Amino acid sequence: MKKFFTYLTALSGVALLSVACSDEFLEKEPKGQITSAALNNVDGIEGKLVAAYRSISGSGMRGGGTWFYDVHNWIFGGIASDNALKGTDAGDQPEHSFIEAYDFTTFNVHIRDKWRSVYWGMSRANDVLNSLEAVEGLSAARAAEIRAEAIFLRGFHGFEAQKHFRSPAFVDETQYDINDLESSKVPNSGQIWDKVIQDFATAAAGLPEATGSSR
Amino acid sequence: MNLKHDLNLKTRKQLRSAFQSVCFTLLLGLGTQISFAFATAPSMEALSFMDQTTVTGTVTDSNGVPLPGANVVEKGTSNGVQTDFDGNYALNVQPGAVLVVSYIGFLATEVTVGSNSVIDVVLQEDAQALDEVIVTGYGTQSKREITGAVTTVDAEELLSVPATTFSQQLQGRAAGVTIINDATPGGEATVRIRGFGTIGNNNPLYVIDGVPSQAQGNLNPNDIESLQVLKDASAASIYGSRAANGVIIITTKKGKAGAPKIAYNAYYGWQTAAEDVEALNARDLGEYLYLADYYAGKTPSHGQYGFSGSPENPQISIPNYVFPSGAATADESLYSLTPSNIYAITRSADTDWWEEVTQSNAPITNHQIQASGATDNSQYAFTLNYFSQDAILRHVGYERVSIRLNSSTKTLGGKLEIGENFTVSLDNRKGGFGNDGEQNAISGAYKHHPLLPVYDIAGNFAGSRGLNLGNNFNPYATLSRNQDDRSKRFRIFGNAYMKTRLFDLLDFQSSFGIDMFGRRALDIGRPQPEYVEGNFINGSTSRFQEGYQWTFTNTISYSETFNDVHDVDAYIGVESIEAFGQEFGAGRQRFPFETTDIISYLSAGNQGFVSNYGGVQTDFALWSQFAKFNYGYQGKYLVQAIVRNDASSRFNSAANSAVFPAFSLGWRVSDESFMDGVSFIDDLKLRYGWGQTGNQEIGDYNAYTQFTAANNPAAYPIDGSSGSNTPGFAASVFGNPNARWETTTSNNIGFDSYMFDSRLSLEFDLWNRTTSDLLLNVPIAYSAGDAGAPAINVGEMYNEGVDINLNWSDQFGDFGYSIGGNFSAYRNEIKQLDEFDTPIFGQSRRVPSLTITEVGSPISMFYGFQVEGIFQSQAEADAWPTYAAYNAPGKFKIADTDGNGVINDNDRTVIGNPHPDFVYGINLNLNYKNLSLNLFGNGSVGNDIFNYVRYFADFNTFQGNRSIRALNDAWQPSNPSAPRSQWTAANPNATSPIMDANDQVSSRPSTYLIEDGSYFRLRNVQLTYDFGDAINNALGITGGQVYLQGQNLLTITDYSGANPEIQTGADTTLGYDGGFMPVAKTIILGLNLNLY
Repeated sequence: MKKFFTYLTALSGVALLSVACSDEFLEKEPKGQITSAALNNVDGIEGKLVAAYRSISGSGMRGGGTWFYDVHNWIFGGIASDNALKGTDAGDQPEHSFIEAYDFTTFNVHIRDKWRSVYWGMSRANDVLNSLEAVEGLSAARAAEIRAEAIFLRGFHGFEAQKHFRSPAFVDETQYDINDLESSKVPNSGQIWDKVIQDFATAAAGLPEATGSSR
Repeated sequence: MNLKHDLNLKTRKQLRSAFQSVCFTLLLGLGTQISFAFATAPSMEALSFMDQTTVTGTVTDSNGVPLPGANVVEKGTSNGVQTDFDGNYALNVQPGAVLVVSYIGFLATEVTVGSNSVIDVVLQEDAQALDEVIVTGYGTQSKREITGAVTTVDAEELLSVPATTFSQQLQGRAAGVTIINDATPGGEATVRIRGFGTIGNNNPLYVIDGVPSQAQGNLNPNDIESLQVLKDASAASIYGSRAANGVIIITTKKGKAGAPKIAYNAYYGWQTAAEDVEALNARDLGEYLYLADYYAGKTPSHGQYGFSGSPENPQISIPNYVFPSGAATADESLYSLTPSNIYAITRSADTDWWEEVTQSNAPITNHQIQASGATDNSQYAFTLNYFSQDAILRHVGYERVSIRLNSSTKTLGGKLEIGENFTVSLDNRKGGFGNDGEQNAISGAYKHHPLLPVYDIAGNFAGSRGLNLGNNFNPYATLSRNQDDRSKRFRIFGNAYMKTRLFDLLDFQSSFGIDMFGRRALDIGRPQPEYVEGNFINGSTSRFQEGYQWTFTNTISYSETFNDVHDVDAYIGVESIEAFGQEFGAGRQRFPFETTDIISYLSAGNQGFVSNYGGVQTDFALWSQFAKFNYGYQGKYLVQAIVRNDASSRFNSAANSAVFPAFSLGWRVSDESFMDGVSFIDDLKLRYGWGQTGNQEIGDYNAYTQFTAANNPAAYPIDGSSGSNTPGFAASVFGNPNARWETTTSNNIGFDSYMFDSRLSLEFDLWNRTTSDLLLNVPIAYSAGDAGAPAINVGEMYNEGVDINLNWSDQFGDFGYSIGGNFSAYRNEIKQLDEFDTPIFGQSRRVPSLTITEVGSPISMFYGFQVEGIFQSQAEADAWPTYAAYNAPGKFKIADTDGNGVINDNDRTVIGNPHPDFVYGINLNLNYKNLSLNLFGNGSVGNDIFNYVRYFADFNTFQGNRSIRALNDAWQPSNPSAPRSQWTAANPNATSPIMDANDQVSSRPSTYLIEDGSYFRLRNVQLTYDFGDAINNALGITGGQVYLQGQNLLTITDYSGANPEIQTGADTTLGYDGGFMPVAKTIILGLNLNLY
């Protein structure tokens, strides 16, 4: 009897060792962070559109100072055109002095961040366009408006890109996929004025002449 | 809504399964116990009483001191006892039986039972300490049997250097372990074992009493009984999942058999900065600025200084007031410092800012009480410790209180042991100083203008609102205003365990460990109205972080010797770990008063200026199964095999599991018959090990693309409002659902030997390791958008190196000495990155990134221009490849590395290597009767450092002070009044370029800012006096020591910065000195008393 009891406990021990913890123990979903799945609704798409507008404000990118990609272009427009003098100490933002002197280097952080900001904006606009189909509860009229607004924002960034860089790539929503980091590696092929003009035309067609201030 | 409900359900399920496991185990343990309480009785009855005799005796060491707790066992059976407090034993044995008497640290002795019923045994000390028990993995091995690369650090040696954390004390003690210390009180050291295995997190795993942790801070180093470093995979892979960077195993003190011991230890020390900052005084800075203007082609002028004379003989006049700028007189009644009228009249001064921010003889002190003891069935060890250290910078300090209680009890005839090891520690970092900050007190000592005094005429802090005084914070004011900042932590760390013997064959152990912390930080923002970019707005931020990690481990082990020659040792086990941590913070601005009592508490702030945040910091789980098997033949041929399977929540379920095997072989060559003639070798063991370990140090939610609704990246006033933003959703992190374990495969071959009557010990290891499927946050193409990059398995890294540990010790009568040293070198190489071998650049601040990680080189090499000299004349400058409009006499000759006749970005190249050629430690001990002297030093050779502070101090980057080098070592023409094209050199051997107010090109990252960071530091010189019997009896104690100690008395280095030890947050940016606190020279007086 005693032996039986001991063998039983021994076997349970072995069983314990081979039984895995439940699978849920190893599933940790993000806490305090919003995942894509949660944004497939009206609030989600409107929020993504607001964030797309953020990209024209000239700040909000990670790790960049606000002046590098300010949409007023006071560095690349104002300083580079001699409309403004950089001033201050030699060591204070020397990148401006180099831009002022047309001494462009690949490690000029301000030029790099202008480039980054253009695609930052395009990617947000493309993500809005990609997410439109999955949204439930959106009226067709509003969906068309959102589409037009996102296309305008993308065209705006294409415009900035072409103004500053000789032959930038243009990424549209059929190519861009937020879950595939390779999808945006679209080859460049000369100037993109035609794509910019087409985006502006599409946007203009989908938007009213003027909107009231209470939007 | 539904989400919330589902989450609750999940948590409940988790808790239930955890609870079930716990119940099962307890039941199992208890059940077996009860069943064996019955089972063991019969085996005793089998022996016949008639045949046995009772043998008694005393076991002592060679001095006649009794040894309590020694093992006396009848050979070949399990019949044995332990000696009592007085070393006495009594054992029933068959006549003619052989008794094996053993004790840790002594050579085992065998005695045959003859006609004598009283057998006293004298044990000889084992100089080799090969029987020393070492904790490796989840069990123990004797040092004799270890086949992996394990270094044991003697706890006494470790503790001889007072420091905040044990990792600081480890520096220079173990070959293969590179430690970079943070000289700030309360700072933690960076520990690297055998180089850099990966590009992300290279921290080793710490296992304290079996509970793993990655945080080493705020544990009392005095609690350490022994410390082992598992360096290669064959030793460490038992910890598989997190062992890729090595494992440090710490065992805390337990009570030892014998009379209870109570001890009191205390020390008090005085610290002074070991290095000074060399910056110019007011008059010399004036001369620098005069010449910088002149050589830039401007008429020298300055808002404060008066310039006259000529460049050959500049006349610098210093004004009486810096505010109003450069004035000789001022109407002091006009002074005002209010938001509506800022007119802070300030007299000029000649301030040595380093003197103002540092203090001499900053105190460091430690008090500790220890009590420990053991009986036959239980042991306890108790420590209470108080540690406090002020920094050499004013108003910065650290203190800690920690309490530990370890205890264990055996019951049920010694078959069940229940115990716990727990410590609670509370620590407090005071003041506002962070290493590596542009405006911290160290950087400020170089950069703040010497004309400025500390206080203005009204006694408020003086600032740089006058002309041309720069935009640095008043460094003393910064320290003073932040003196009430606090970061308080509590930590509970420990485990409760149960050990029991099953079937008289197996040992079952179950341990539940917990590591819990909470941290409360207070950051008071008192305004700096005197600062040229300052205002009157005050603020205060409070932050709270808390987290826990629990570990539940169950093992079954088996140990047996067959036929006296085959030693078999094996165990299998399972382990589950879960960790969670979160934080929240809040702040307010515009408090009515700035006294500490008001501004420390948020409710007193203005409700209209509120900020807050909260989120999760840690969230992961691990589930593992592991097994180890050891076989030894007569201690001569040793084999070990390990296998471990880990599953982690950080990877998607498809790929979250991985297997990590390892094996190692050992051959005790010295036991072979062909070695009998070689008398000088006492013990020689060859070892080879191979194994795989894993790494999963990526974000907890790596598989998920996440969005944020935070204001800065995602909000926009879409309704046209000028005051408020409409929140939006922006991608914050991209996800990679396909990530899997990173694996490191390592090989280690080496030997351990004792020679010349064990006076010489030598450990030698040659090793390499290859990390594949490197988890890298690969920089993503900018066209993908702006969000955090996920970790992707890409790339391969290779490391190889050598570790040597050498020790010689000898005794001549009353005089003894020992010399020891360790030497380690590693070479690191990136074998592969992504498909295009895209290089990874490190951190960039105001200068473009100056570290590069690329294929074919070690991680984080310095990258920039190569300076080949200085142009001595216009003709030389004209003959050089063009570099925009830069080349001129006195400027740098930049190498045209691609040889195309033009200097531009493509001429940047690898210009320095932050990795040391080797690191070493040296230890010297001398003792004569009651006196002993110890010297310990460590150093590093061949590592380069980028001195970022010189970007500001040597060039006209910002207004403010310059280094002495910028003036005294600058190239100057002998005929400055002549046209530039006719200049000849006054000091052709100058090492700094010509002073030039408009020069922004010379300060680009180049070899000029890279310095050799090799150093040797005499870390410890200690003279100890051991109390003899006379003093002991007079004081009524059982033993004691008094000692005098000097730390960091000498540092030999060519590095011009304050501290050649640079600790950086990211391993892709190594050796980047942005202003680090120098070490302190410390004199310490200490006392140890064994009270009972």
